[in-house]
Amino acid sequence: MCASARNVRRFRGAPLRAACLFVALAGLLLQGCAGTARGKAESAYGYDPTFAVEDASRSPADAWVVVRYPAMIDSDADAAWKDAYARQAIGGRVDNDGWTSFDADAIAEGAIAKSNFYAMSLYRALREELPPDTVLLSPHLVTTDENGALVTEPMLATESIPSVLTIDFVTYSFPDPEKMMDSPPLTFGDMVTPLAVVHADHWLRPATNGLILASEDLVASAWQQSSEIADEEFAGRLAFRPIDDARSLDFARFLNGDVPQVQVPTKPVRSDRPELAAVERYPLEKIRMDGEQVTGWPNDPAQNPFRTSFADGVSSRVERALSNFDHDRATFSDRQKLLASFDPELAFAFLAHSEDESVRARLALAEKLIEAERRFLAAQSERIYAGVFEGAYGRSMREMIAAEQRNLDQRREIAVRQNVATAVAILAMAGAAYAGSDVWDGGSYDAGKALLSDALILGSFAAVETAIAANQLGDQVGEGFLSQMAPALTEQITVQVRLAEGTREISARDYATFREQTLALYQSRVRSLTVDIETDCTYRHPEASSQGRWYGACLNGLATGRGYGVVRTDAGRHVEFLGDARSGTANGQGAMILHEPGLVGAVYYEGGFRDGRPHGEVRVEVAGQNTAWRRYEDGVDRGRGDPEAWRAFPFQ
Amino acid sequence: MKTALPALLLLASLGAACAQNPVNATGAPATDPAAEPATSPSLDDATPAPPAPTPGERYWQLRFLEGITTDVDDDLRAALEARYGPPDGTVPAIPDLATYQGAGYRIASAESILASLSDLAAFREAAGADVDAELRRIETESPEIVATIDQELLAEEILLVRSAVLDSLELMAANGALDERVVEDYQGGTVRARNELEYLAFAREMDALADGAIEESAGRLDAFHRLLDDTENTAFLRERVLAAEEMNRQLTDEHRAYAARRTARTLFFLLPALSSYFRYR
Repeated sequence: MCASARNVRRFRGAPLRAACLFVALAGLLLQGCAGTARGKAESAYGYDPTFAVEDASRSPADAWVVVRYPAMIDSDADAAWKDAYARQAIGGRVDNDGWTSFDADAIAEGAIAKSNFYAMSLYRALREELPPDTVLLSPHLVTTDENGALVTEPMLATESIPSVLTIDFVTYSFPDPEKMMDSPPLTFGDMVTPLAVVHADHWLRPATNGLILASEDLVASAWQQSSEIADEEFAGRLAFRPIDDARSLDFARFLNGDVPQVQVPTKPVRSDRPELAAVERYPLEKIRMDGEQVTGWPNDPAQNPFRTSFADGVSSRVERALSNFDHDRATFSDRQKLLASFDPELAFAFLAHSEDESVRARLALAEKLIEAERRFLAAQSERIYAGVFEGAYGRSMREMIAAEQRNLDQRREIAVRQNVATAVAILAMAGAAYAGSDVWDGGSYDAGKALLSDALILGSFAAVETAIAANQLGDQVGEGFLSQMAPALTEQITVQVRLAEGTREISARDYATFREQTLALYQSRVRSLTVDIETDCTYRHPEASSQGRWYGACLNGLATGRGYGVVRTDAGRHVEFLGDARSGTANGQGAMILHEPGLVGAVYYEGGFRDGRPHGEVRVEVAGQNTAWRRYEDGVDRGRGDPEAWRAFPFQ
Repeated sequence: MKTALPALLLLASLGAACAQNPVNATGAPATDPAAEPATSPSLDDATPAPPAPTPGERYWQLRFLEGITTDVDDDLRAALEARYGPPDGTVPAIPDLATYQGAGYRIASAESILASLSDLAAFREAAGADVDAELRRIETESPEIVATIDQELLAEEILLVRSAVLDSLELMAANGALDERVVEDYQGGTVRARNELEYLAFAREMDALADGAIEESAGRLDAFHRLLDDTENTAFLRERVLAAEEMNRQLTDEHRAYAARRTARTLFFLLPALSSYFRYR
């Protein structure tokens, strides 16, 4: 608005000046200029209560959605987190003048506090829309690696359960206190800026390495992490070693700022090109929740303003994704990894799609084990939700948000009053403007700005004592938080809770105890497999002089039958293949992922293969392009294919 | 596992159940069992007609029929028919267990078991679609009854009878009366029946483990909540916040200069107050 006012100089006609002034004045009166923290009432994702997910997948053991968020911070990582938070600002440039590091530190810490709380709303919205026990929480601990870079670690075993989709969630505020209230991202009072990434196993969306959606500022870091994990899976399977696919929260990776600039293919929310193999770009949103609901939130947790303005809409978006995706395709790789962790023999037979009864029976037991563990973890998620959102912590947090809201309301009220004064000043200038004087462009407008600064000061004053009082509230909240999560913690963490009668220690329940019991039961019941498992079987590709590795049916040391193969070509391309093989190469129905060095994303072929190359009707996905059906002859593209004649590969 | 006799009695009773079925041997629907009382086509006309089975009993019988006859392929059915003749519609009479004295009952031989299997397999072949349809109907109309059926017990009974049948088939094959190859599918199906029974027992134990762990975890959490709620005084804290805000309103003008210095910092003073406790160590 201020810029547009200055631009008045460009127009010589008085009516134009008048019109511009009027618009500027009206805007000022209606909205205020600074410090009023404006936002949008509803997220880009609208809620659709009529939508219901249909799932025809084979396994009942999988989770559908895992919600990851920063829950705690290792004291050793404190400085790194705060430094990175101030350095990697979203929504503007940070000036280091006029404020102390304390201020920025507070905002950085607040991101964890608020993420903890608002993640519960997202969890609740998803949980109510999806089948029981299919939505899991995965709180993360922020820490640093041996190089001092920020990493996050899951605090529960949630992420060991195969999941169709994973959501990284965090709420954000701009780290410059001078600009925070006017910056696009703000989480304070009724304002919330959520950042989110939705990712999956790379087999679900091979062209984008499994990356489905990302906040626009996190696209690059999320893309980088998805690529690295796809590479790690390939390397681990080629070397026949355990796969380290631990993924830090994408926000933490973003804060490290070590992401190479890549032209990531993206598309907007509600794109009219669903077949485009690209990452959905979620815009930076400053959402303004319903003020009345925020005010009444402390006394009525069910009136959740964040759900209506954001979480329900995201839930609908996730439901649509879950309906469109093949759940078996999304989870088979993770399921194989999990099976390998407690039954390597079965993990091999699983990829071979063996129809042998001994494999079917053992797999049924293993799936039951996974289902039981998922149920336990779902119960833990529910406990975390109850503790964090509905318990003492949640009540206190809602009190604090309502207090913030009152503070913001005061700021807005004073800003509007000051805007009236500013408007008078502007009107005083209007005559000069009409007369074509330069007075308007001189110092008078700055006087108006000064008045607005006063408004900021007045508005902020109310927070002083409130904050001091609330600091005491924070003590209470902090004490309660960890102990309310304690029953669900994976590791044996001892929490000290200060009570009126003294200090009491609470030990977290060790998830490993339950796991030991389930594994003991499993091991006591499984029967031996009656199929031959060859772990040293060769998979080949026409462009690879070295041999790859085959997980599946094998004959004379060569891939023969159904299975999964990996090989590196002489040009350094990574080839992953799931399907039928003969004489060591892909032959028959299958799905193939090619990762080419220097190429953004991957190329995916699904359909027929002959001697290691696409052959027949093939569905092709390339990052940044529409999905296409092509007709191939021994790897040579012969033109448009026939989708009706194409046969999808069964991932079940 | 139970002894073989009850299972064989069940096999016999299944035959009786089949005879009371609303489908005839040609597979055409004959009657609605719900609308028409069962009649006894038993060879022994003197045997009183049993009462019509309840939906639960009926469901059990049909599932039992399926369990016994699954994997009786064309070759095996032809081999049995060649040996025992085509089905004549006769089935053993259902014993009245309430008055059963033990006398006069035959001990099932391999031949008699396979003769019964031959009849059942022929019946399943002719009326399989109707059996499936009736099963689905009961599942739809009486889900609560179906839910009360002990699946593990049913699987156990099926396995028991299948094992007796398989023993008989293998005995016949060993004697050269049957080709060993025609037994293979039934053998595989019996292994699967055993695995399914083992799965049901495993699932029950696994569910019990999870339930116990969840209950323990929930109880602990509830205890934490009570403990924390007992020590928290939210009302007191709220009063302090409100009092501070009221004080602000009264002092605003006098403390304007002070407020100016604190503007930026105090706005988000609340946040570190919360987050400073999210420390792991």
